[in-house]
Amino acid sequence: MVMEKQQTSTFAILFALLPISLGLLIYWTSESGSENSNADLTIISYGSFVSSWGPGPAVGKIFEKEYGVKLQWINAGDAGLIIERLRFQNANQSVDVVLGLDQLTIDGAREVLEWRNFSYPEILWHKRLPKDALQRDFVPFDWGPLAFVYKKGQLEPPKSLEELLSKKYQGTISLQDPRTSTPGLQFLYWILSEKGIDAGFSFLGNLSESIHSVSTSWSTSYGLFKRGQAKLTFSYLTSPIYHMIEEESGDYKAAIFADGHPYQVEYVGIPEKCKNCDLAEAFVNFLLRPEIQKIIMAKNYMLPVVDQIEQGTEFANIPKVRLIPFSAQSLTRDRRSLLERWKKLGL
Amino acid sequence: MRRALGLLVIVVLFSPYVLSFFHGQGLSFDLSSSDINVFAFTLLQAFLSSLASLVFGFFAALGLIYSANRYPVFYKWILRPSCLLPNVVPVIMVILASLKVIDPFPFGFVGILLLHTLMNLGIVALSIQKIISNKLSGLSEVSALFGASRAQFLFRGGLQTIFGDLAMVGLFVFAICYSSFAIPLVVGGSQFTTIEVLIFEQIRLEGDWAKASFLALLQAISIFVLCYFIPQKIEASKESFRRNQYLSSRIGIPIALIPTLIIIIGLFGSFSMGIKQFLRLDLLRAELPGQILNSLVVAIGTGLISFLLFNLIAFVFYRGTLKKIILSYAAPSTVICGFAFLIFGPQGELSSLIRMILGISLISVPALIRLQFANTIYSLERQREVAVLLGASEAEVFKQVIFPQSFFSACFLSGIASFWAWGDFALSSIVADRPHTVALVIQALMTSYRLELAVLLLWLLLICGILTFALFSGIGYVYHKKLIS
Repeated sequence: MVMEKQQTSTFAILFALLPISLGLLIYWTSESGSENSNADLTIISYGSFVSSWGPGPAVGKIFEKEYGVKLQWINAGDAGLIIERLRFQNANQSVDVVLGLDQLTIDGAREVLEWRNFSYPEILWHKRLPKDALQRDFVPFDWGPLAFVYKKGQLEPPKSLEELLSKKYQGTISLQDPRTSTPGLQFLYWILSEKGIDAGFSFLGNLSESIHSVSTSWSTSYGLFKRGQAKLTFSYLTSPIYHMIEEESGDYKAAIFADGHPYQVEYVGIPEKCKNCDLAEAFVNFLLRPEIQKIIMAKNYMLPVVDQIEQGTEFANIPKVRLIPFSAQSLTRDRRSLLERWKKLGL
Repeated sequence: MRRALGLLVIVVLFSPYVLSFFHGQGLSFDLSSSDINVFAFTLLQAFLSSLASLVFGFFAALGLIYSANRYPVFYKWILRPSCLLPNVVPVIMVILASLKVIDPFPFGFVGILLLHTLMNLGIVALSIQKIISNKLSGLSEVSALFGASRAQFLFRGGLQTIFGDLAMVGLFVFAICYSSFAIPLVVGGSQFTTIEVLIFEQIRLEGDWAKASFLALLQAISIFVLCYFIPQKIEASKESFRRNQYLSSRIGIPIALIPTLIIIIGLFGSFSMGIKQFLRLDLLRAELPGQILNSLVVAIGTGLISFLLFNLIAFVFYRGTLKKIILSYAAPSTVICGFAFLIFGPQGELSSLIRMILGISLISVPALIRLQFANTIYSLERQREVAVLLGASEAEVFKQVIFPQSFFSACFLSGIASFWAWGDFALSSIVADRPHTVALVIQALMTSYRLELAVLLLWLLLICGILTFALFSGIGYVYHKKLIS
């Protein structure tokens, strides 16, 4: 009898769960807008920018205090998925500021949404920031040259792309796949714009002996490098500064190529459909302030877009490298066929 | 009522597909020859990976049975959780650990098979152990009485008896490897593209949702067709862990332990650096308790929703067509599923957690049905038929026969789903609007140089995962004993 009762009550609990779950689901999906509907400005960015140790919360806190408003950050996870995230936001979830697109992804963003043109304030731009970095609808907020990073004592650093073909670098390089990673796409475009398309692919074919692995993301390839499986990885010129500041290690170095380095510029933009457009514009201007640029530089380990910010910091000591201007537009147009050819290389 | 609930199950399971097709503005039926090659390669690697997992998993299962009989404490607290670990750790960690321990690593096709096998061997072993205990214990005792050798027992009846069940477990691994993303890319190289990579390419590089949806549909249909033709054996079963010379082997214990040992050895070390990084991040220290709590909510929520779905499925399972659909159904690609859920509900922390719970449950349940639950409810079919013949209503049959006997299995598998929920960042990173959970924090740490701290938090995640798994399994075990006593 007791057993029968127990069985019945467990059974009843189980089936009570069903209507309760359905009811909650219906209630939840019928709720429109945001839980934080009192937020004045909604900003979408990638994970490490939004995380507590990233620049987002620190910068946001100062902005909230100064303007007396409330910000809501949305984490798009991977920077490459920001555009898709925007496409899938439901009608009630408007985004005011999009932060974290780079020069290879802004064209895609322009296809998905319309963006507000921006009137730049009087700014002393960073002297080394390439002039073509300034766009009418996207404002650069940080940037950094890309480079191969190595650990002192583990190998002799290469001085040019050609040197990477040498036997001494056999099985040492950890790269990112251009189909899934933005730095990976930067690397591919770098080679192709430097050498031309056919010669570039032939170079990549020859490089296969030197490649340890091609990862899906920068974090995996950098992880392989950090754990000692790969001796060289494609990363940022500023990466060694992280190890110097956070790990007090001067062992990590960037290999300097006399022929030059590609660079990544990160942008902030305001969609035309913004809800609080004036405040969004104020936020973008705010990001260009020297004290805010300093925070972004220190927490994102990228160079500031405003001049003189890095003076007196480790960032002032990074090697002055030649930047390779390349037109991503023609390559972006042929991206599909270029990636097909990349696949066939079998790296 | 059963018909309505059956419809509900179908609607719930297929909702991510419907939502993504609706949102992707239809389908694009455009397949190139290279896409077909990708399909062929994905099929081949998934088939060979599942075969290797089954073979090694079988021997590991013999080790589990040996250990359950001889060293029950070691089995319960070390071996069984160890078997689950490689399947729940984020894939990137398995890759990093394996490349460190297996040196030189066989990059290429062999590398893909090796990592897929390492990841799935343990969970396959657990499942085969249960199948063997349920279905072969009696037969093996009779064979032993007649003096048959182990080979004779296995090849002249033993394996034949459990062929359908092994095929289902194989399909579980097949479905995982079929949608594999990171492993083929990192250890295989760019020529080893899988359908999942192709889907991701379409979304990220082309923004072509119609093509991505079509590829996801093809992916699902191919698994559906494959599952549809797998023979199902219905055998009455009786759980037993009796000692038997054919069904236990000490050699299986190291086989079961190897994948976990590789991960532990590969991820061990650099703790001091991880702690140093942790101490430097004041805000993370302040936020971490909240993130652990959120992960707990997602894990428990996923476990409960999975439990509910398992029982709903057990109730409606015995209808011919519905049974085939449920068994053949494969969850959609994680990316597709994640974006499909994004259009639901408001933004914010609670909504993110609800999306995670729903998404992870819908991805986990179909796989876990194939892994074990189908076997459990199949084994009750005869009892159900007898009860119906004796005049019991469907509700009574479920309440008195199916529910008490499938309770432990449903709890055990919900425990696995909750364990997966702790480690999920593939779906969570799409549906969450902040790094709300520990897994998302780990992902964000890895993208900001802090790999050592990410590894440190991974250990925390694993301990929490084991605890919630133990909670569900424990409840299942205790109530199962009470319900059937």
